[in-house]
Amino acid sequence: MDCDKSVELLSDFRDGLLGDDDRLFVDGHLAGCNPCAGIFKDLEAIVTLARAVSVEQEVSFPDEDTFWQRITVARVSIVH
Amino acid sequence: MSAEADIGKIEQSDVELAAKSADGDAQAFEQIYRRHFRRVYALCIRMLGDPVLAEDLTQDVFVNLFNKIGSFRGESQFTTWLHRMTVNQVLMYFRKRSTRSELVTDEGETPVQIVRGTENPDRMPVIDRISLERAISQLPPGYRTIFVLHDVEGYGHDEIARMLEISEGTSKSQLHKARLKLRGLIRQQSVAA
Repeated sequence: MDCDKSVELLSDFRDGLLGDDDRLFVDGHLAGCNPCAGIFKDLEAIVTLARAVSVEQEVSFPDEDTFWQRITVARVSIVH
Repeated sequence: MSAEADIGKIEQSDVELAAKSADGDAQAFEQIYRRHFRRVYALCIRMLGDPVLAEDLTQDVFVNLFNKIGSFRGESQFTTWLHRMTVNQVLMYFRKRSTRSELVTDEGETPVQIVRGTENPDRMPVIDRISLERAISQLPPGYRTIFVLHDVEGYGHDEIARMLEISEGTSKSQLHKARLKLRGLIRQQSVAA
């Protein structure tokens, strides 16, 4: 039961959005529960990596010149 | 002339280019496009998860930008202004397509079951960008939108709630579900590998 409650609160705990009571509850629970601590570590890793990802990385871009032509055509067709 | 001064002369600021574009300078607008195309496309594909759709929406963003660039007053950074315009364009697409259910996802997810002694904290492998990107692309659209806005782009729940017309509580709860879903997807990837 404590694990369910703890898992439910992990994101808000991680983001510093919990009130004192819930924060102390999760903090205490993680100290004694390896499975929940493992989930917390995983979420922390996901968020940390997401924050570190530049929006331009790992994306396969269309050809810039071809796409410019496409936008030019779209603009003109809207104007006319 | 020093190299620095030379660069300063060549590189016009976004504000200058925006002003010229608004006055009908096509070359200035093309420079803006070339400077920001990758960023706009990358944001679209992150939020949409589909290259064809991302191209369509990127096109819409730049056509919209062309029409509205005269309204840019320089009160915020141009990149911030364009970023917001891109996010709004994608959200408008989601709304047109319907579908509040795609903005807010409740898949009836099976809660994470903890059974003491069976949940191995080391099961999720050390993740890299590629596996995270792959997992993000597999998220349902509602989860993906909120995860990208909050954890990649850095928007707060208050801003996300306003943009998506949902409560802050819903934004928080969807983000949490998205993170758990990502964890599950990354674990599946490692099992399949």
